[in-house]
Amino acid sequence: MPDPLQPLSSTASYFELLGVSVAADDAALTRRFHILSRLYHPDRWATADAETQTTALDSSALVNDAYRTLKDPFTRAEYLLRRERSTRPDDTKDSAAKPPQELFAQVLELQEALMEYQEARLDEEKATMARLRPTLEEAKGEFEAAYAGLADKLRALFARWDAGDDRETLLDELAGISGTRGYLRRVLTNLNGTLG
Amino acid sequence: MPYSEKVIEHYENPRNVGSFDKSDPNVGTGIVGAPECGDVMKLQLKINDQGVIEDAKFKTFGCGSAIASSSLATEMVKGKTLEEALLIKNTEIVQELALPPVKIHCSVLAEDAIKAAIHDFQAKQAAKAVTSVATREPVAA
Repeated sequence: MPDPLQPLSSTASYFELLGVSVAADDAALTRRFHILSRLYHPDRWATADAETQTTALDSSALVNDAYRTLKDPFTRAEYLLRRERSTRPDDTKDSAAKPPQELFAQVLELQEALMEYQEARLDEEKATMARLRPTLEEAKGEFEAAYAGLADKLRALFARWDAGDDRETLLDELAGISGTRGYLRRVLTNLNGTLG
Repeated sequence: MPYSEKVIEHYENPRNVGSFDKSDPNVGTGIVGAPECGDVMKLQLKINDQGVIEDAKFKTFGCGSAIASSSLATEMVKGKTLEEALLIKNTEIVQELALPPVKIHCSVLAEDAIKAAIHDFQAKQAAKAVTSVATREPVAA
């Protein structure tokens, strides 16, 4: 048992707190989380002095936040963006406003088909609904596949981060994928809501 | 917060919904989006040789405020020169539609869409100028 218990740095990044790389996989992240959870678990310090108890409580909360944030690749990317760009919000505005134009075209095209389908359902035009449904089901499959691919793209960017690639370029790409996720999630919510 | 009457009015009777031919040299197309909510807005301007916006169309995939903001934007730009249209501020849309603070980003999207459409048109004109110079070159050479 380390004595006395060292409080975690309040300025360290979640990666530094957990002692993992930006591209750390699930196994490495969970392993570090378990080690640190055990170390800081308030039960373990229940008989220590008040200051140590507070340190244990604060630190285990921080470890939990870090783990929860980094476990999901999307929240990990958003965390990196927030941390690396928090002092320069103007930089992110531009890149976030420019997701791929072909995605926009797809979203708008799908929206039209979706509206047509919804109108047909209101008017109980079964034939129109039957005609449009396969197109929408197909689009749903495509958007789901694209969404699933985003996590892999993020993991590839995390690996490049660790490899020392240019951070500004990587942050732009992370912002792009983060934005794309917003559009895809919205489209999928609408598709699932309409197709049932 | 409920939508204002003006938002509902534009939402239920949107003006200028539709599309122009994107490849028309007199058409500028702006497609912008807000990743936080997934809204996508397409705004197209038909610009005559005097640089005046003759017509505008939009298609918006988003909430009522986003649709109302783009609908209003198409009305505002008609008859304006490009310079005048570039001066349109999102705050004018906010005021006209009485948008609540959480929906201000919808008006920003509409302002961005106008600017994007104008920039697209200007880029097309610049490319046309370059092409006409390039096609003249063999003659000059």
